[in-house]
Amino acid sequence: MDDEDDNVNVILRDEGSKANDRRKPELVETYVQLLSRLIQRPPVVDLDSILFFNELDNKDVIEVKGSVSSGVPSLLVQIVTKSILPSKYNGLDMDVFYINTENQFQISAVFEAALNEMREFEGHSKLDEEVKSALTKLKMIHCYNYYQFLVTINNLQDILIENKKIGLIIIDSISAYYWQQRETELSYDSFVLKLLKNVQKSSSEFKILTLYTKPIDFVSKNKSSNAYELRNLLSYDISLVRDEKSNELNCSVRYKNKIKTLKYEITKTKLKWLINNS
Amino acid sequence: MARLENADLGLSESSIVKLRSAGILTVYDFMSLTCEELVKKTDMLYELVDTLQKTIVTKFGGNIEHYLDVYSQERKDVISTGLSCLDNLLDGGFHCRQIYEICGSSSAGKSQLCHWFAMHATLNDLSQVHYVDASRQFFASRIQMILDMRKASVTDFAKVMSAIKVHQVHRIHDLVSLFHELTTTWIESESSSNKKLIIIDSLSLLCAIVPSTELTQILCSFASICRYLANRCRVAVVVINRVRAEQRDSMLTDKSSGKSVPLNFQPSLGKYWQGVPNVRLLIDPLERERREIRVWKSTLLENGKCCFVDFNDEGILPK
Repeated sequence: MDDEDDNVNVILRDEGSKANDRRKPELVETYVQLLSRLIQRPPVVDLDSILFFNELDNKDVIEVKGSVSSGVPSLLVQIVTKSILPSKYNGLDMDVFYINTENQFQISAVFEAALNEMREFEGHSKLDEEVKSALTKLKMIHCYNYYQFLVTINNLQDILIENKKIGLIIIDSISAYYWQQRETELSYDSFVLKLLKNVQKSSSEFKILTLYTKPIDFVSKNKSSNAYELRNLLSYDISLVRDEKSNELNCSVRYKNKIKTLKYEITKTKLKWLINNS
Repeated sequence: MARLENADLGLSESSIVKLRSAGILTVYDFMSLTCEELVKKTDMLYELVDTLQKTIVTKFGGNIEHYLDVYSQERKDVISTGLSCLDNLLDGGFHCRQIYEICGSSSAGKSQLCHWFAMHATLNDLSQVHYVDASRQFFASRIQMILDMRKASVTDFAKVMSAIKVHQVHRIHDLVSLFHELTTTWIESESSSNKKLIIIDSLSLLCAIVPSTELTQILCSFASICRYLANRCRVAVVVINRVRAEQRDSMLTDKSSGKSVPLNFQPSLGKYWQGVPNVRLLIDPLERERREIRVWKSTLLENGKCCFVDFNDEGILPK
């Protein structure tokens, strides 16, 4: 490496540490790597111990898929609420970065859910200001087309450097623009994998939990190597299904080779887990 | 994706040539590389590359929104349907920034509902209702009839009719163009701050002539502009759609009328569209003039909850 490169985002270490050691310094860490090491991201282990039965790590990737009316937005409201609430209300007190591509998320739902959770601790005292303060932790970006989405993902690193308390990235949904880029003829799985790898360039470096949603039938029929690579990338694979005949709601959670099934109800502000059949 | 030379980034001719020779043609090509990679590939100055990436993000990427403002607007931006029972079902009425779909079989009363919503919104001082009349079912005379039966004044009739803008649209592409036009007009004239209602009667009719191989792609583009318009310009969008029987063999013959009734309904327009509306309502004809309106799909409302209304000369009355 040339000496004039010193100012280009690298940290150099003088290997020998002896005063007269004239060997060329070795690149050991980029600027981004240094920042990712120095910025302590909030732990996510307590996000939902029933759903994430094998504990959660900050570097995990979660896929949530669901059929129509199976409660995916309610699950997201629940996860966002838990994340942004202060620790005195049993929350994780962290920021959430939400890429909203399908406009199914309503901020008023988070407000109601947060208010509900707080009331369990504080009764009916005036909590509006505290909820509003918690809502500032939700950093949301609306995307309206594929390229706006791509530019946003490519800017993720800067967003994560500027917002040091972000502990969770949500992409709702990752498949929204598949039909806007069909000329490239990527399969469903390859499309998701391509975008996810792009997100992971930043999220895994900064050790930030990533959650994305997609429709339940957004799965390639032919299993290619990309499908296996995608499966290996996922820590948790969650499916929410409403049985059209019985109206029963079932959640299946896969963590590596373990599968857990849960029945649930959709209440006004969250999903209520009913039975643990694991 | 915008090509760099058309992206209005203030790039000099020599920079464009350097970028082109490095195979960097579009804004996205530029954003997919790090500053270091761009410097290496193009020999451009680091500061220039960094500034350009920041400009591109501001211009083409999404911006983080302030959610306290959005929250207070979400609660305020509600348009009454004019039916108390339906308002209760919808948590106050049609919420701006949301897409509503009303599904029903032929002659279920979908267009009647659209007339009612348009009339009622304007009577309640909503300055703009845009009625996309693809089915040619919009009749000013029907609105006049309802207002006459209710002994409304000529001023009221004039107020209603001047606030309802009817657009005769026959192709889905024309609808997309109309939405682009409305977005530009509203953003430029700063009327994006007033709440508005758009009714599309009906989307399934506009898509009827689209080849099935192109339908999903077109609907994806339409969904994008629809969401953009709804969010940026404080609009509630109401879309009319038909229903279809899920399986041809699952038809039941109603002995009293001899009509075949599908056992399992599905909204038409295919699987992709099923996830687009925020709220889907199903209007179902019961005996005589009575209709059941049911929440069929919603992210936050209680699915399956319903109300009953009666259609008559006076309009629509809750039961």
